[in-house]
Amino acid sequence: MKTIWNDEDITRVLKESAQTRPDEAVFERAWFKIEDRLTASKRHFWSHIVWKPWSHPVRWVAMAACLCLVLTGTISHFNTIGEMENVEMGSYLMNISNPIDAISNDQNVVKVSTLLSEPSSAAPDMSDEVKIDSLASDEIFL
Amino acid sequence: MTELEAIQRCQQGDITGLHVLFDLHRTKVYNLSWRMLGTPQDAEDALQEIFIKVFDRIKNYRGDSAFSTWVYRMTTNHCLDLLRRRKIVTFLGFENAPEAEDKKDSEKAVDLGMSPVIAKALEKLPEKQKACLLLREMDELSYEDIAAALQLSLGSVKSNIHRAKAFLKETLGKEGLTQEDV
Repeated sequence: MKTIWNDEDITRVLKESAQTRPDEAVFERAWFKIEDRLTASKRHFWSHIVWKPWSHPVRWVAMAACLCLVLTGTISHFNTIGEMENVEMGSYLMNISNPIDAISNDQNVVKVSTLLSEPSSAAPDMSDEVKIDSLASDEIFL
Repeated sequence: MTELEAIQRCQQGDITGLHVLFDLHRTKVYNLSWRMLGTPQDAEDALQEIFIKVFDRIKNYRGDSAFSTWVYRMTTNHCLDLLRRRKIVTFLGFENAPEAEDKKDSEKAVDLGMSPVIAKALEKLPEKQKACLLLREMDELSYEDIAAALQLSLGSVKSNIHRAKAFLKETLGKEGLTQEDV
């Protein structure tokens, strides 16, 4: 009676165990299920295209991040539109209520009064000509 | 239909090709799954899942390695993944340990066609060691094929098999069992 085991004994015991063949019905049942599942997945064509976030926890996180991004984007977009509308509405109301003040506040409009009071750089300065003429008249008199 | 033709048909989405591949590799896939997972029910479920995965991913098979090696890789990956998940589920306490299933170890061993003592000793082995040993001794794969199937280095495969055998020798010796008992 041998109680010391060697590599060959282990190999022999395991090889003997490997000789068993499972029941054929197991394979038939398994193939039937495989065929059924593959045919069903072919029928549901959309199931390949539609993204299913519920199949893995990481997808849940990705889905939540996408939703947050879309929500934040939408809110900020509507806020921007709202602000622009408020500014436009404010300026419109100001125009209607006090048109003169609106003109004076509007930086793009040049005030007529300022144009009249300030000396124009484009127009020739007549004061020098007057002086020259006065000297010439003095020489004549001398 | 040859294996190559079946693979090509499968790659074109033809299920008849998968049927041929299923008939060729079903026994080895089933036996390996059974030995790794421990119950025939799990092995049957694994057999379905693995061949559905084969059909889904066969377009990625380029023929660099033998098809059987590719299928073995899928089988071991699937089983190791299941065992890992089971460990997490058991650790978190959602489910009873797999050992506490309906059948006793001795009954499982008889189903597997092996001695209960051997089956119990195999259960105690780490998953990678167990997979290496089973692929080598029961499925008679070469070291290179095991390395390809399990995505390990050749040295790692050899050391895993050596450790597994050493563990089995020690366990069976401690039990005082002779070769005749097993």
